[in-house]
Amino acid sequence: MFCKVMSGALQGIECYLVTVEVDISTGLPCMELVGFLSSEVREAKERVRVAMHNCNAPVPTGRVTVNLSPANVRKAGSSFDLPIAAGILGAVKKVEEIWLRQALFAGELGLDGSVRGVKGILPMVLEAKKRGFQACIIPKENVQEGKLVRGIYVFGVSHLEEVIKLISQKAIPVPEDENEKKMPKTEKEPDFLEVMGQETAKRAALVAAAGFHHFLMLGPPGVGKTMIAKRIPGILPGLSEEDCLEVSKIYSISGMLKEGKLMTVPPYVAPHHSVTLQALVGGGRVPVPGALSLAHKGVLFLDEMTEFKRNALDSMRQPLEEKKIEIIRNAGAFSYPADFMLVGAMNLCPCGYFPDLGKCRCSLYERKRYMSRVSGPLLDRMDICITVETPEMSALIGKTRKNGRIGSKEMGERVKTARKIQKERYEGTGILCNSHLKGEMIKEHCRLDEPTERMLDEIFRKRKLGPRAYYRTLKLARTVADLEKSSRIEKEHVIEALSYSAGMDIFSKGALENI
Amino acid sequence: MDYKEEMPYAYWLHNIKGVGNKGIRKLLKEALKPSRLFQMTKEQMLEAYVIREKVFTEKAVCHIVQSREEWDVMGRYEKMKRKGIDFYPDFHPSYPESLKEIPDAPWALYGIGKLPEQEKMTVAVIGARECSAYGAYMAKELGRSLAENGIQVVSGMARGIDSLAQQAAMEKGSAFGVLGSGVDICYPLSSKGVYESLKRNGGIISEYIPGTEPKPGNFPARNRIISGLSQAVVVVEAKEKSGTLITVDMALEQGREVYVVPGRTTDALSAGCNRLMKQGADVLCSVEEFIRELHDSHAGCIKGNSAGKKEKDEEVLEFWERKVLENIDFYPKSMQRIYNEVNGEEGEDRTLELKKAMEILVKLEKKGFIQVKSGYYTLIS
Repeated sequence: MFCKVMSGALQGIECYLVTVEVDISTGLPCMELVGFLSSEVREAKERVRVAMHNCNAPVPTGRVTVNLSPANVRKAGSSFDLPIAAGILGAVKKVEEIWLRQALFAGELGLDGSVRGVKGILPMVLEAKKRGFQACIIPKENVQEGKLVRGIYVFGVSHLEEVIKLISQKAIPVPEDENEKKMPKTEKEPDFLEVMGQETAKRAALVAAAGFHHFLMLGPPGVGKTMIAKRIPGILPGLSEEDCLEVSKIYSISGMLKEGKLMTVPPYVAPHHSVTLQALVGGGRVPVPGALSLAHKGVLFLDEMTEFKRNALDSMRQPLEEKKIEIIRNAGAFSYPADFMLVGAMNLCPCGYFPDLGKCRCSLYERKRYMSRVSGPLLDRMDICITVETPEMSALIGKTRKNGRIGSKEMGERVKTARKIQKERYEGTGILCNSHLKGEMIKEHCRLDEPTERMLDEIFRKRKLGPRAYYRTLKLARTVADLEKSSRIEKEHVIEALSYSAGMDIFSKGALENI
Repeated sequence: MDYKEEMPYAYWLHNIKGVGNKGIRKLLKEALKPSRLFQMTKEQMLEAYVIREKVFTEKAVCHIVQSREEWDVMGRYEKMKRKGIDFYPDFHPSYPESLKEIPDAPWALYGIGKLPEQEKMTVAVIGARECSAYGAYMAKELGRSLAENGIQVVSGMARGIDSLAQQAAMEKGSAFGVLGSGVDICYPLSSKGVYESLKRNGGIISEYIPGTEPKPGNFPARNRIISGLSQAVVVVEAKEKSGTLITVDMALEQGREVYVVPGRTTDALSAGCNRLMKQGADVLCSVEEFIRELHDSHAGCIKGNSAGKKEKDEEVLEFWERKVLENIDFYPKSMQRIYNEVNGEEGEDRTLELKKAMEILVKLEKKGFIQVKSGYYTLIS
């Protein structure tokens, strides 16, 4: 008595199909699971046996062999309980043929037969649709997530008995459409209107968001660096359909998709500075995505950057270039996307008050040691580096100047327009925004006129900055021009870009001495 | 007394452990010259120092005798000379006269390079290690102007004010560094550059035997040499509690003139200077005036060369450019702060747009009025 049903397993953010083969033959009553299994999959044996017993569909007496194929890939997770149960039922002919061929099963079983939620439903359903399946049977907990995929029947089940009833039907019914629960309005998003004064930092944040540039804020404690960072995701444009699915997949396999809602807005991830390298880039024997991937297409905010572990920070250098993370483990090579906007905040010395020498108590040596906690190459990848100043009292009590009153809504609109311009310009080149420009493309899209170029050269010589900073300034100037809806980069755009790279030399030798 | 023959013996005398400046002077009171002391028998010494004068114990005399036996007089002296280190006991003609006046004057000095020329004036420029851009500017300005006027600069080679003044002085004249370690040891290591150029364009001086490690206790003592070598001491920046003030105390004790560079009352780095001012120190209003005053009070054989400071090209600046420039200081300010200060409170007739402010800042930077470091703007020093 042989039977096979289909299920899926995760590899990175992608899913591959797993065939669950069940055979019941004569012999001593026992159940054997094979197919390169981790212990939680092996334990499925007990869960399935008891759950089936409690649903009046006991496992037949005999030698039950279950094989999860392909047998050479290690399988982990608890989503194989349901397909194994379905396979056993199929082997005793309690399942209609069509379900065995046209449905994909995933879910964890409780001993009473209840079906519990699992991770990674979204990529599984996507794969099922791609492979032409007609239906997916998944836990009710995950049904919202599964229903995000159109063009496939998704059945959410909460008990094994429901499954038994469902798969004894001769044809696949149309699943009843659950009334989408109206979500209560989420709490008010933080708005830039609440940031009083701080015109320079706000303007810099606007430029950073418009070009998806990495953004670093320097300044003493308590001036609003964190406040500004928290408001940046709010002005980023919403995710495109493609990005939305990709980001949602990452959250799905991490089990972090909230109430089965797609990630339509850019994520905001702010790991605490005690974060380990593995938690940042992703890790584990079968790697799960880390904070960098969770911030894909969104904002990764590192507050108190100097307090992070050196190796954790340095691990970000390659993903910052490649926009993805390759992790190689015993179980295979995993690739997670990591195209995020890095927002950093830090002080300039251990006490935090440098360069206010009246307040700062740190020696040059202490300052140097403090700064050396962040590696130069990482900081060299920051596009904008701005100093944040203690706000004036008058600004705090609401007497802001006109420039200081701009809010997230208006900023968001401007970012959206600038992004649209960029998208049109780079159509077909595979890049979406100015910060992704490379090599030849910079030369093509960031042309300057003669006098502007001379001015830029002169300032660069004065500031003793290198070629990477030069290209960064060009890209920034391009974004500023896009914000102003100008097709050419004018002198004023370059000047603004230069103002944002004014802090770039903090890691060069002598920068911390008597400024 | 032919000082050249005495030198190797003087070197031995200075190297006896446990015998300091006072001890050496007591020994020489009887022996008159180091070579004679070296040749005295133990009995003679006991008779002279223990029985008659009662200035040493018998044990101390034994120690001196023993050190004499272990010491290779000529060999050790030659070895030191080969290292390029000069030795100046107080009977040496080059030993600075001004140093002899001070209480507890060192009996001998070691030096690499020159000693300050006695016919020239010497001024000590001292101050904080962690200095502001203003302090750095004043230190450099002082060093340069003093050197241009043929005045030698002496200081402690510490990071900050000390080494900046010395460096600036060496570009136009000579500077001297007094160490709290042996002359062959560069401390602090960060001043290696200054140390090397002092060897060529001035000298390194110490009262400690070559090879002596820098000990915290040595530094207050070396400060008395800094002030002792000079006619005037200028304090550029010092916090309320600063090691610099020890040098000032020494200088006052030695009857040297003390000048302070005034600062704003809100600057912690000028608190020490302002406090000294209140206590009656001379105020350095401008570098030129200070040098004139020096010449007046120390009218000597110092060549007068009051080449006025080169005026910056008077460029025509627009209203806002002027306003922005007025708000930039030697103290670092962020763009936001400059912007706030230029615009003042709301309600003023004219406001400067952020974009325009950025343009002006880049323009001023290009013209060389201001510089930007770590994202903070300061005037160029």
